[in-house]
Amino acid sequence: MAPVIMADASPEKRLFISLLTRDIPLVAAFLDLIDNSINATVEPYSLRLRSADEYLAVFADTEVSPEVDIRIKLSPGRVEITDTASGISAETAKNHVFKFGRGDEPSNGTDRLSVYGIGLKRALFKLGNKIVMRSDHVDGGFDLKLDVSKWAKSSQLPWTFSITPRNPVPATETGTSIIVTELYDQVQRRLDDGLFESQLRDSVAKTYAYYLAKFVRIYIDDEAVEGISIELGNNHASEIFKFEGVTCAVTAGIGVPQGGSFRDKSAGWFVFCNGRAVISADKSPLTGWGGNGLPIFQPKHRPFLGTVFFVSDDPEQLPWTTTKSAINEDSAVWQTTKRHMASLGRVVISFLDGRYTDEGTELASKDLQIAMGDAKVSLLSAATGKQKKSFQAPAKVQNASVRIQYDALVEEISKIAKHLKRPGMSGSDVGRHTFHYYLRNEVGAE
Amino acid sequence: MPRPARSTARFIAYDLRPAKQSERGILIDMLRIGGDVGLSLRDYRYVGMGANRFYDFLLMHKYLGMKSMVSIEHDPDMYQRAIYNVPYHFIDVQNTTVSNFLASDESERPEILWLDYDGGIGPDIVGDIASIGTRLKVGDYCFVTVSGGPPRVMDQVGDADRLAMLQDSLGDLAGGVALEDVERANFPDAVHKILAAAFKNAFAMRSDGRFRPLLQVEYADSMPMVTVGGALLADGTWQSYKQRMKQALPFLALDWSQMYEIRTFFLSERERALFDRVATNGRPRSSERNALRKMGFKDREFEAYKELIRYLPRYVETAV
Repeated sequence: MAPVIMADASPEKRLFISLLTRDIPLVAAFLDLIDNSINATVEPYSLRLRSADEYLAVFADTEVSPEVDIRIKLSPGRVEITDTASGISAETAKNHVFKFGRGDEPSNGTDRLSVYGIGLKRALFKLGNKIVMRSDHVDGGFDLKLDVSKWAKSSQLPWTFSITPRNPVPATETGTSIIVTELYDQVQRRLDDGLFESQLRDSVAKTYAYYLAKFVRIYIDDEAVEGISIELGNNHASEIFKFEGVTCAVTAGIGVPQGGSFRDKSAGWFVFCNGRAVISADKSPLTGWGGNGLPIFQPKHRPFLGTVFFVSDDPEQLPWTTTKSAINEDSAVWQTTKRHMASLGRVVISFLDGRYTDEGTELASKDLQIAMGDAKVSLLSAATGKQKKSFQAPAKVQNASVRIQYDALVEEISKIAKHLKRPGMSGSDVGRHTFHYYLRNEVGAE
Repeated sequence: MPRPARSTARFIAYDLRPAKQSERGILIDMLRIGGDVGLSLRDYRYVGMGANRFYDFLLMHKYLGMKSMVSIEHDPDMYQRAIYNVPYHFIDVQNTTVSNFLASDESERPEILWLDYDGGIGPDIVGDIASIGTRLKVGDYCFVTVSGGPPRVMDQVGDADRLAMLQDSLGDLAGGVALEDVERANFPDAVHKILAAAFKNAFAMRSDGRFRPLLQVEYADSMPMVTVGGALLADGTWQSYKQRMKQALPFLALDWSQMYEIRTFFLSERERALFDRVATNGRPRSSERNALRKMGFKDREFEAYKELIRYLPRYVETAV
């Protein structure tokens, strides 16, 4: 029998770093760091956050209010993120925090936003070459100083980071700070591109609306971020079901207009995993538009607002990708939920389609008010409602008037205007005048 | 097709705009520094919007020696008047829009672009800035002037609605605009934030130079106006430029943080003579300063006047 040869299948650090960081947008890398802070913050509440309605109960609990500050500071060549959460002990850092992946360990049941065990490292590798991390914990924290390029060159196995233990601190002084310098060129350019900060602010406001209301305050360059508030009418469809250990709550209805109109950024599907928004205002085939039960999204569908709220005490069961900024389309949980979304959303969409004639004319605008119902509810309370509900499409309101449109020669319109001794009359004024003239003189109506 | 906006030169007396004239003076001084740091400005081409008076074109030729110029005029009627009034043979007046000009013009010459728009901030203007981000060569300048008031469609709505409309029409570029920025009195701040974001974004991926802000001002002759712009410069040039700017024009911010307000002074000739002496005296106490204080003028007005003393025009009535 031929001897067995052990072929080298060991990972190469630089490739590993490149693979890890290439697919995550910079904004999502910052969100990964925030996820870690929030995960530590909500750990004491984990037993109260196991189903959609428990999330709502905590949301409604006036005893729970934000206690932890997360601060992000962006300056030339430097990124700093600090939090006042419970910190990371030297023991946890040694055995878990810097390990790439979770290994075979089962979920500890207390994590809510920490899933695969790569977010922190990926975010740090994404940003820059020099990393200084300090954490203070009641059991003693640690210091880390990492030069990524030097670390990548070393072929020593197993992979390790050198950390220095720190003394225990009182519970009031715990927290973690991360400073990244020698930012990579493309990161620095992105930070300076005039849009990044507002995009980050917008993403934080959307992604953590739930946590900003109850658990944390987040500041970007010393300015507090407020979570977005999206509401929908109380006439909405909702359904809650459980699939493979994941609770799924789906809602579809009519959003509440903002600034007098239904805004594109508030229309479509919003998907949450354990209270964290994963996708917002989605109008693509991912959420079923254009093929899976829903039509291609058109401007007339802007009043549509749908939510999906997934909850699991094993975050790995949730249908998010490793970046947590997208959905794992192949997940059975997602595929099942997508069918429920189409079924609930279709009723609302067909009502919205029915508001237009074949020529695309809007029939009435009051009907949207009626369709919303007599009250508005927050997106979260709609998403986590216990009862199965259906959307009641209101009866069609027929307008008392219809719009008449026809083509006429400019020359002939001018002739009429001249005849009326009003040469500046517009085409529509001429049309209105001649219509009323006919009505009065030929039909004899008032 | 929507009817193009009419040129504001039809109804604004452009020959009586002291703040605008001060802005032009500041711009010329700032460009001259470019000459001091090695940019050969007389070889540049000036692209502006001269309407029927061509003030900036006259200054560019007179003070910087430029002889290659393009004036963009989108209003067909004003175009005929521009052709009639064009002061120099070397000014090429083109009846086109900025976006069409940027899409079709091919010039190898170094350039100074001053896009002095008639209307308020909108997607077309930030689109033009995005195009400029790929067009400018290292050493080129670009300035954009727009109304500091809300665009007409946003004029009659409340602040929250105005912010929503602004964000809907400009997307992430309006992401840094806060509710207080869109109040009518603060709207120039909103415009400044949007223009600054548009310039930063347009040039963010350029590796041959960085776009440096050199002129960010607001002023109001008849209506509030905002100008934002600068130059695409190599790092070495920027260091020398920055030093000279700090000496010559210390009131202008050299990052994107703030605008300078070009104030308008409503002074009689006799008051102005006192202001001139106070501004050039430097002593905290003087008879002129006391006389002005007695009339109710404040120290901050003396400081503002001192910054602008070289640029404030004097208008006299003549019978031609």
